[in-house]
Amino acid sequence: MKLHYRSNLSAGCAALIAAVLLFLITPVQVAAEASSVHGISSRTLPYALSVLTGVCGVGLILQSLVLKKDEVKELDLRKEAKGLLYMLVLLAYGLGLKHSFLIATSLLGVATLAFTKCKKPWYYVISIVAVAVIYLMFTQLLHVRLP
Amino acid sequence: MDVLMAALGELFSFDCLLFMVLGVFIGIIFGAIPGMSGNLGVTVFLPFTFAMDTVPALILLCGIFYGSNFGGSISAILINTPGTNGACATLLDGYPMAKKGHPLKALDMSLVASTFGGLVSALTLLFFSPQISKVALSFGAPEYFALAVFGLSIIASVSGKSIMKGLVSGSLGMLLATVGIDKISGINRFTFGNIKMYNGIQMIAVLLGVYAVNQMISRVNGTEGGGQASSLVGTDRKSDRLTWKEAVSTVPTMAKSSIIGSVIGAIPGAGSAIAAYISYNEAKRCAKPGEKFGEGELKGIAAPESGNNGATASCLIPLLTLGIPGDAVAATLMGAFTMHGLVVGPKLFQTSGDLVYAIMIGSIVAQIVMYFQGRYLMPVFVKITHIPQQLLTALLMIICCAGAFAIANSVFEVYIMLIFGVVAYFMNKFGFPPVPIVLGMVLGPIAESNLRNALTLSDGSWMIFVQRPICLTFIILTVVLVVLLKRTSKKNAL
Amino acid sequence: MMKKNLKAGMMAAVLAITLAACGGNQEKSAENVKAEATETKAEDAAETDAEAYVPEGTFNIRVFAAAGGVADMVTRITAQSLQDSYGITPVINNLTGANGAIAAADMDGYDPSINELSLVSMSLFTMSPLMNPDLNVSMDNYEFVGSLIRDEFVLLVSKDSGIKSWEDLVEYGKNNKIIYASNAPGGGTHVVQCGLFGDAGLNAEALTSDGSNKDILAVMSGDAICTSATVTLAKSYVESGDLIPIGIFSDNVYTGYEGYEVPTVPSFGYDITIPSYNFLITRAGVDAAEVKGFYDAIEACRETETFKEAAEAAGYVPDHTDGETLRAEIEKYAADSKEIFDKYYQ
Repeated sequence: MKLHYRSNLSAGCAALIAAVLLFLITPVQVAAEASSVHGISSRTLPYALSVLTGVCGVGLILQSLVLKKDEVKELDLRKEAKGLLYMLVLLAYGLGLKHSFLIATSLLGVATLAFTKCKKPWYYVISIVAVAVIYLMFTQLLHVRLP
Repeated sequence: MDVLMAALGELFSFDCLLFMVLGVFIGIIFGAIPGMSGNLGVTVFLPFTFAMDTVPALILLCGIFYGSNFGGSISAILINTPGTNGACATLLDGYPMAKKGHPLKALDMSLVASTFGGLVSALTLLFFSPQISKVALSFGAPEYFALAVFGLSIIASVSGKSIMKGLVSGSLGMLLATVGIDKISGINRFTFGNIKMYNGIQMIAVLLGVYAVNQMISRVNGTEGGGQASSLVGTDRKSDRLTWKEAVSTVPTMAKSSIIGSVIGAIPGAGSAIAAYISYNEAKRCAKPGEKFGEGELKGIAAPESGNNGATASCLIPLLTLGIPGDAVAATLMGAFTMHGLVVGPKLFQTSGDLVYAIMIGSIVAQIVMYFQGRYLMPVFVKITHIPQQLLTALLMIICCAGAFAIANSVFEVYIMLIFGVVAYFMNKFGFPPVPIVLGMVLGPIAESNLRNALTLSDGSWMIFVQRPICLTFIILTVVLVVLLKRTSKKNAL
Repeated sequence: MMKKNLKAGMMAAVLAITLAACGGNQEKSAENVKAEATETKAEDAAETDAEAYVPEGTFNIRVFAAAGGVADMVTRITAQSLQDSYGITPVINNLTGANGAIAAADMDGYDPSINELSLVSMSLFTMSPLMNPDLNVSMDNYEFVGSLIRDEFVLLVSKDSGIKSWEDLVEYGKNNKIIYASNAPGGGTHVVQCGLFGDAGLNAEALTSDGSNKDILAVMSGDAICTSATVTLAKSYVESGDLIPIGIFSDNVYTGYEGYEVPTVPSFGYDITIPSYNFLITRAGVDAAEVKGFYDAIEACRETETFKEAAEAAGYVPDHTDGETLRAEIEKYAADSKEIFDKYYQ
């Protein structure tokens, strides 16, 4: 199943949303200074970037709707769903990494191969061996402590 | 003359040359592996040099530095993942050329350009250090701000079809660079209460995410366009190499880029990434009709690599003459100099002239060593393209995770990499280009902090930016280049 | 008959030789016993000494500064010396940021052990908690092992500025805003200069950067009129004549620069003597004997020729402040910093 969307219009909307979010987050995440340097404070750049992003977002929306300059792109929902699933695997990897680099990264390698529909057992072995080699290199050679 | 003879005697000894060869080799490997970098290589091998004599030790570390800048282009060209910041501009044309079935030619060009740039840089270090250090001294906050704005204007050039999307990407990059403790006010920004964010977000982690992880997700779900760089199977090796004629045609580009790189590298805090982008931008601006930058143009590889390597030896100029490191790797090298009793700064040449000249001349020789090593290693590196796509994807994912961890020995950097991999994937869907993110991260902090410092100097007057000659020059250059670039794009489109 | 005599003679000779040997052995044995007794006594003594902690195993040392910096180099020299003397395996890890808060936080993830250490800056316990209240760092959570570097800050001007003394700077400040180069607010060089110019009633503003080298560049280029740097860092610039020291943030006049007797800032009437201090900490809960033993081991290493050579080559003069004294000093400087913070950072 395919989904068609207009690139500039959707990019413009995303930029506008990001700009608003940034504008709202800035005073929460950046404390007010006792005094600014000639009108420029720690908040100036984040606010400026949110304005710039918002302006570009509006510009992209206008470009799409008013000037009719846009490109229609296609999303294959099945493929995107697979991508989202892989992102969940990455999330799981992140959670597992804290406990064991060796196991988590080996599983990530195996999962990546599985997602690419790899049917060759040797590739799975190679990826696990690669993780083991990296693990040994880090811990024995470089004395880096891996989880 | 005596000093030079003593320097040559120090340099041309068996162990010195051996360590030079070793250092360059290690540097190429570290630079080529995503997540590893020249700085990491220098840091890892620094302790081993304590027991060595001064010149071999420093030549080893400098060799790692020079080799890594070339090494970064290998992964940029073959797997679309820059090994170093400076290689980000190389992939704009390097990877497309490799995808067209010419990976060896792309690597050849990168090697030749890196050697060219490195030689110009090393000769600048040897012959023009005092003059260049005066230029470094005249760079204050307003000049740095103007340079950063000049660099940011390149966003227009690398944004592809939509400058507005490029500006949004650049804004994201600049925003990422604000995370952490603000060095003007000392206030925390966007740390979300996480102590690991106090030091900001590491650029390499973002690079790995934006380029590598993003790409892996696309490969996994089959949405990556174009497939991996073509394997050599079926490719005529001879026709894939860079020809003499092709190399000669890029000499003017390499020369200009090397000079740009040498000057920018000598400015403390500027770095090779800025040099690479400015060089690329300049080459693109001067593009002749038929030269399609962004689609596998030879000059699109020659320019950033010459610029990038042009900044290497020259970043030692402020270090050796003023005691001020030109970039992060130079800062690490400063420690090595100190450990070996060479106190960098104004008196260095008086107290240890023969050793310093040995290192400077060694820098020239190291570029030639790098050329020959690269030439013979290249067919080995290109074998990466023989690795089946499925296995390569999994291995790259593993290497990137290890590389991200190695940045700061912390899982936090792995999380950053994964998060930005996902963000970049969605940005890609909307058509936001990734290159401006890097530009924003590199140049945003330079622009912001120096703007505020410049206004401190001028007591709030913006006239300072037009009152100082170097600053004014950069501002004029920025305006002129943006206008010229727009004209060139229109001409090429026609 | 002859054969019998010969046999007897040979046997006698063998017996005599054997007896002599045994006697020798016995004598040796006696000597051995004596020696053994001496050895045993020595062993007993050694055992008693050995009850004092001797470093062994792998030591994970997190350094708050980047590789190649002064703090990093000093840690590596010390670690190398410990490795040579005690056979330990030191693992240096650069975890930069927040004056050591990130390094300390990483260390907090492990059980208290003398094998887990961090090299931090004094600012972690003086200014950082004031500048970042959510940092939650307390001296009570750590054991102070001992100092590696203690360096005073010196106030410097450029040779081209026309200023040769504090009085000249004050005179300059009457008609001009003093632009001083320093690190970010809360950093060592910012605190001492902010405090000094504030107390002196001078109109001053900071030009900030992320390193003392850049501060020195700002002064040499003329953007800033003065800066502050550690005595060690400033040495080559002072000796080359590019910078002039006009005051030291210390109670003692500094005579380490050839041709200069640098007056103290307290002699100008301002009691600001906060130094740069980098020291080793470990988690609270580590046995006090181990903490002391480890520092004693460091001190012992500093007496070795290899350490002295390495330190001299790097221009490193070790500081000998032990953990207890260090804690007391930091508490004092924390109070001084708070005073400056309350006056000029709010």
